[in-house]
Amino acid sequence: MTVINIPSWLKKMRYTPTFCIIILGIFVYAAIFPKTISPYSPDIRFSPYGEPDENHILGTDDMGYDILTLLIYATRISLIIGVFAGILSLCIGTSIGIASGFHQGWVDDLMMGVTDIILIIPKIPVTILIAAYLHPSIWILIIVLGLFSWETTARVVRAKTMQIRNSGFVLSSRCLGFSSFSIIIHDIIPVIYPVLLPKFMLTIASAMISEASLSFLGLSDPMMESWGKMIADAFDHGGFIREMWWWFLPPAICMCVTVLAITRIGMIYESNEPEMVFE
Amino acid sequence: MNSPYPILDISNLSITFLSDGIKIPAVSSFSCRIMQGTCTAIIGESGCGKSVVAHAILRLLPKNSQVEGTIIFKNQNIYRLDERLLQSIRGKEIGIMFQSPDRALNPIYRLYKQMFQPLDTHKVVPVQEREAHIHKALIKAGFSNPELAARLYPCHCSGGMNQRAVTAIILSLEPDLVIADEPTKGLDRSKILDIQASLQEVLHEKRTLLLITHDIRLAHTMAHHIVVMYAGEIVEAGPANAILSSPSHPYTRGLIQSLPENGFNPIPGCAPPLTNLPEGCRFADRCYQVTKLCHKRPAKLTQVNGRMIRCHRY
Repeated sequence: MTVINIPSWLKKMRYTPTFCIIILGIFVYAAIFPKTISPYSPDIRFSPYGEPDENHILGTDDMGYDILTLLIYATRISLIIGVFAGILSLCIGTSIGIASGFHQGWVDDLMMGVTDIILIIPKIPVTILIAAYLHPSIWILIIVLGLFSWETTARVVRAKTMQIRNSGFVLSSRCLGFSSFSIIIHDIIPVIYPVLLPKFMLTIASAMISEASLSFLGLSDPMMESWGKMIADAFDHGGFIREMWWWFLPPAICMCVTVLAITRIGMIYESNEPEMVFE
Repeated sequence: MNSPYPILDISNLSITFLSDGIKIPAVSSFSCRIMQGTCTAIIGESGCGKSVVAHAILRLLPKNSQVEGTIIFKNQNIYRLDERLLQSIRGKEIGIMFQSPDRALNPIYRLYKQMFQPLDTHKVVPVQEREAHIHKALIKAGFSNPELAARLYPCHCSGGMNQRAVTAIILSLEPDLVIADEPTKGLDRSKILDIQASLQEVLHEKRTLLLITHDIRLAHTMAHHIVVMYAGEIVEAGPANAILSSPSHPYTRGLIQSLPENGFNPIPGCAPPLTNLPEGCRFADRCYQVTKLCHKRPAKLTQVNGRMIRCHRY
């Protein structure tokens, strides 16, 4: 039996998220500078329902647009929705979690009550209702996705804050005359950061998936081309019936790869290190 | 130097904790006056309320506590101050050193940052002199290479080094009163000597030290005055040498006899639970000179030969 020698750089890559950072980097580049890598401008039309060939690697859609170009331009909308919904959710979750964990008492009761209510709301049906009721636009989508995904962050942050606020260094910070605000900024947030990052990344990933589901149901901004909307278009305009896999499969693969890369980067602090305990 | 004046004046301090509707009197009618530039030690066995007094001075007690009496620090009643004024006193005027220094330092910052932030908050020295000030404080605390020490994380340091770092942080703020709450708990003799050296440094700079400990040997070497507490009240207080060489109260005598060099004779029994205190003297059940009166009436704190004693025999 021959032993396969795995090169050391490849071995290292298994434990570091380098590969995932490169993948995410490519998508972010595509989102910021789509012009530099897309083969055509998104307004040029060719003959519709074209099969993949040397001019159009992924063929053309029902309107005659180049699918690769659409795919590259759609990266921006998908990422924007994910990142902004993630930031919104992180901000709300962290503030509520820290406030209730740090002050405890009635503040904690009230905020955790609100969190419980948000937690039991069935997310997707309510999001569909809101998106259908309001004029669908990317910003409303971001706000709705952000507003319905902070509660788990708040729970985790609250638990961590309660643990740290009783630790010796917070007590000594109080004894050195620091205000509660500066204790939160300098002592609590930096220490819970390793918990915040994976929560943030997971929220981005789940917001992107939710966006795709909503787009597929036709509830996204009709003017904004995202990966979810590309799949929906392929479904509505005959891509599935004609078995044009090059139309609906690439956006789905891009989606999966991005979500996987983001999730793996979020686990950056979970690698092979012993659990850190702050007493 | 002008004559010593009381920097901290605690009178009739009573602290009660409320827990599930049960009142726990942790400290009752504690009075003590601490003079500028001296070292006062509060000694007593675990659970006698020593640390509660230290926490009360900085108003660090939890919300379920009731505090009566007054604590006057430099003519200001601590319990009448608003939170912002109190924050300017904490650290800058009263520094407190807790047991287990490893926990008192934030594990994710270098020592330099941990020393810089309090200086920044209290504006002790102008910005351009801060680095030099930090290095000076580290040298004083016993670090021979302050540049290197400032770049360390708390996990790089041993327990003794962290203790010295905590001392450096507290002394860099130049507080007038330093409270050391059980600084030697659970340490071996060589570590205790380290801590003793850093506490000597506090006294050396003409600062006031309030030492809370159950290490009688440490109290003997450091303190000018000693306050002995038992079950939440003062049983004996006065000059350190007099009390430790000729203890008057049976409890103090018992404490000193329980030291290894004095025969290791522990006081029989244990302290009464604070929820169910006896009617008479709180030490009566363990006292070898107990009389009928001791069980009936609590003793009053009386002045005898320049010290305060709470015993019916005086």
